[in-house]
Amino acid sequence: MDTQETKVYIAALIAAGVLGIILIYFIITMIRQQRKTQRLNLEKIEAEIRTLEKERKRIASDLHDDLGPLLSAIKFKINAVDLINDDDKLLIENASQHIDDTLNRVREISFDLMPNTLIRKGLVQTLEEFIPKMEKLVSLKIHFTHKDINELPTEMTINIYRIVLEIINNTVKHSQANNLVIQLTKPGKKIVLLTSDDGIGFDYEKKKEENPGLGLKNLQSRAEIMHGELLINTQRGKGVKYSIEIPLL
Amino acid sequence: MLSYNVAVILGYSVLIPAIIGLIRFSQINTAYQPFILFCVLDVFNHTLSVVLINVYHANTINSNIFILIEAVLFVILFRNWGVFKRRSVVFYLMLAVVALFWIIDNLIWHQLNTINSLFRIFYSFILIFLSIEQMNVLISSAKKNLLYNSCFLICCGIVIFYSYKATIEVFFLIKLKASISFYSSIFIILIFVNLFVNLIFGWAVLWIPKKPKFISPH
Repeated sequence: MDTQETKVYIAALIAAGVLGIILIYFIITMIRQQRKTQRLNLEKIEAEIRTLEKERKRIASDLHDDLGPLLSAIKFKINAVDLINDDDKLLIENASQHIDDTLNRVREISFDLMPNTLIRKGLVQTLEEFIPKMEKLVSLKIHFTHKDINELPTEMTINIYRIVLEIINNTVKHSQANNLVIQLTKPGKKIVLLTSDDGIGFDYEKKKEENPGLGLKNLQSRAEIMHGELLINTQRGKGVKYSIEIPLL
Repeated sequence: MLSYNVAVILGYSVLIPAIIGLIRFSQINTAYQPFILFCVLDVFNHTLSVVLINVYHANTINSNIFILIEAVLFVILFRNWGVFKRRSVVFYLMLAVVALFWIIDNLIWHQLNTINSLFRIFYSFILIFLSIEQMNVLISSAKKNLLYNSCFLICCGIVIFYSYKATIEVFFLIKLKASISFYSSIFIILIFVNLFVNLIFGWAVLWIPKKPKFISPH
């Protein structure tokens, strides 16, 4: 190379160095931005779900602790009225029955919002109580099995419970399935929730493009805030399988 | 000055992603298979170039054909990653434009046995733009560390390598009245960038996800 060529070559080398620095900076910025976006997103979802659960707990507590005793007191007072007229007695009996129905409904709503057993007795027992009740209401046989699920952190318990409920709800509403298998296990330092139904399934990609639905987003959000991974396996006519792996940190 | 033999050996760094890719080929997500195919074909093209340079002192014909295959495989790879989602017409249009530009540059404006930089610069830009598009999607959708995300790593490799390739091809395009030694020295930059990018590709192939029995909803 002559002097002129050497100068051009050095200029090219410097340009290559500058380009390299720009590219590396560009990539590092992207990685940092992704981490930031991911963290903010997770914090946002976490805050939303925490607020939601807090509100549910408050409403459940208000219903169970305030409205329940109030209705019981009303019933007690009505029953204490001494009546002579048979028509009036019948009216009071009917009113008392309505109050009983209302009380039961209040308990049900309170349970749906935040089951007491979930905090007191844990996930497995709550699901074992909930599933037979659900089976009475719908034509779906739920096969629930569990292994090594002992005490879990409260937030994780609530989130897994909501995920199971959402899956049951989705199965009842959309799958036309007769059977739903739910397996909850703890292989090593993670919780694995596997579910599968024998329903009609769906075309996931098509569904995702049209409208993924709130249910699926809820499942995903709850899995994400537990740093878990939600995976779906479905095809038309082949049922739906969910796999959720949650690390025990 | 880097010796020819060292340049040949460094060029074989593409064996790293190719071998890892072939070992994992049956297990990996089929969307990534065009990339593995590209790495294997790159090894084949490199070997062919070495043979042809030794026998005929030229590797332009095979290189010119290989860049067309390379461009098509990468466009298919980006299609598999969903860059053309809901815009399948754009995918076919892009393939057609790439093929048309290659024909014009290599068969009409120039000949197949000359170094035709115009198409090289053109497809480098296309691959860089597609990579940036995909990287932008990954910033908001990827849930795990991007340093273990094979799609992101491959895009990084493409942006780095083809930025240099497009820049260096400019020297060949404008045909400076410079010595062969000067052009060889310029080409050495690309050899080292190629080595770096092949190491990134090797790392990326290690992290290619397995065939999905389950779909991740994002």
